[in-house]
Amino acid sequence: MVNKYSKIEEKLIFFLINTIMWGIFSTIAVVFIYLFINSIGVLNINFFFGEVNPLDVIFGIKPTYDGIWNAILGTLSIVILSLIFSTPIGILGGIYLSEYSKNNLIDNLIKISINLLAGLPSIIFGLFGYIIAVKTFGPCLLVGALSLSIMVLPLILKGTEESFNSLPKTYKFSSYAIGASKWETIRYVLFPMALPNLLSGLTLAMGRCAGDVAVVMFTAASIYSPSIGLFDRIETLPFSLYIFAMESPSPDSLNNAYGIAIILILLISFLFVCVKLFKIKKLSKLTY
Amino acid sequence: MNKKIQDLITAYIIKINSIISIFICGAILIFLLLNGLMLFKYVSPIDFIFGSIWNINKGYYGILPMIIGTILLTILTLIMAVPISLSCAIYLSELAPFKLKYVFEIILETLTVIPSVIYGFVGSVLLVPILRNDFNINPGYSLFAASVVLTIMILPTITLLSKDTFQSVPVELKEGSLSLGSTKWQMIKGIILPHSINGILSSILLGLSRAIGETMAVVMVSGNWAIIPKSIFDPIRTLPSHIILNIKECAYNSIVYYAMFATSLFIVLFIVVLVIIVEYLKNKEECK
Repeated sequence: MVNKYSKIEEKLIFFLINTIMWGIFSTIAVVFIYLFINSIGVLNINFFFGEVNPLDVIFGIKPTYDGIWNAILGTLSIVILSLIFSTPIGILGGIYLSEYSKNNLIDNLIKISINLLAGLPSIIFGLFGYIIAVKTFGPCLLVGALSLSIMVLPLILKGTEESFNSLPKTYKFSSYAIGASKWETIRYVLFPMALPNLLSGLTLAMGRCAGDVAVVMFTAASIYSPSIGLFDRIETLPFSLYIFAMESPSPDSLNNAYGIAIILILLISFLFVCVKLFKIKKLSKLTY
Repeated sequence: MNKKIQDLITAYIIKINSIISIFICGAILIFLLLNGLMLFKYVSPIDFIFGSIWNINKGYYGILPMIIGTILLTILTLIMAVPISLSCAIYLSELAPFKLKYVFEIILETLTVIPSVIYGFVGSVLLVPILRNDFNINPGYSLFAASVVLTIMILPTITLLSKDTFQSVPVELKEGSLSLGSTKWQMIKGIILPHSINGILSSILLGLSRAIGETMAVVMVSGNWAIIPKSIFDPIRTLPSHIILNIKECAYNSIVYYAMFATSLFIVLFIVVLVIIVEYLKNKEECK
């Protein structure tokens, strides 16, 4: 029923929603512009490589002392390593949850515990990794990547389960109807269709690995480390950012923090855009 | 290869992977329980949960200020984040012009993968000085600042998930309402919102569980005084911040070490309570 009050109510509410929306996005824009402006002064070649010749550092001939190149390499290496550990187990476990699990006690317990683990603060996985590190190799890249992979495992499990569960059942049943076995259905029909959403879950996991401070603080990171060997400590961008932001002795070193923040945002956005483009390419192939 | 054998082998591999996942999840929970319950050999549970002083040197191990801090932070973040993100979701699904919608969605998706240290860093160099200098709130690090930072952090998650839920409301229902002469806002209020309550509650749960466990951003803006706040501009300390602040300096098997695990058990309890509340609300809506 439309009376004059409902028209006024609608105009008011929509005005409010528009204001909130534009307010939020302009705040976000202001924040990014502020970060960008403050980091312009800092981003020069010395910021990345210290005083040393860039080519020498890239090929590993000389170490850099001041630059953040080590941190970039460290972040990339820990993200890649932890994804290598967690993705196979996560994807196959998610397929189990959506295709093979039934409504019995064990499977329900499994689902509850995965939901619980997905909500735990990252510091708990840091503690777990610290205990492992103390008893085996000491804090190093390997232990850090293992702890991170345990942390993102529930995310990948839930994301894979969601992406397989959201596929229309008709594809599965049609595939069985023409004689395909269960594994053939999963591998050739369901998996390619679930791939875009699965990649979203993986991107989220990747973002959490790349940006995590609490876990690497206890297991892998240090303020200065020239190498990224498996059993060495490494520098990571978010950890350096945290140290600079909390314990910077002068406004100059705070500028370094702005630079690290911008580089970290650019790195993660770059990875995200790559995955997004891949998703768009896959989705356009699947139109029928 | 014989299809049946292939099926059996792959089913076997998938089940092994899920067993590995479960084993890891179980190991973490047992690890927490064993170390956390050790605390109660030294400190009584009543003193731990309801004691309002945390002073290691004098033997006080009360985490009540931290529990209250976490509860207040959650409630304040909820109050701030839910209206804003639902407004943005309504805007994105109903009101926005098509090209603009795409741009906003990409911005929001990129915001979900940005690490939490960046939010904490921006909060500590942008928000806190504004509060301190322009609004004369000392010390500036406060419950309010932490809520604002957490709101912006979970806003993209809730907005995107709610938007997906709004868009999956059947078109017949929406067009039926409009054809009966309702205004667009009446359609949103009467059809879309009630239909999507389940999805909205799930997205709020997802956002909130990230907010409760969020360590780094809160540590950087909340002030970390272990007191019960008297106004929203007082500093607070939350349970995850408490863990990270104490764990670095405590000895391996000391009382404080066990207390940190007991604190983590509390965080788990929090999340379980939240999940139960949300499930109850969802069931109530379905029975209507």
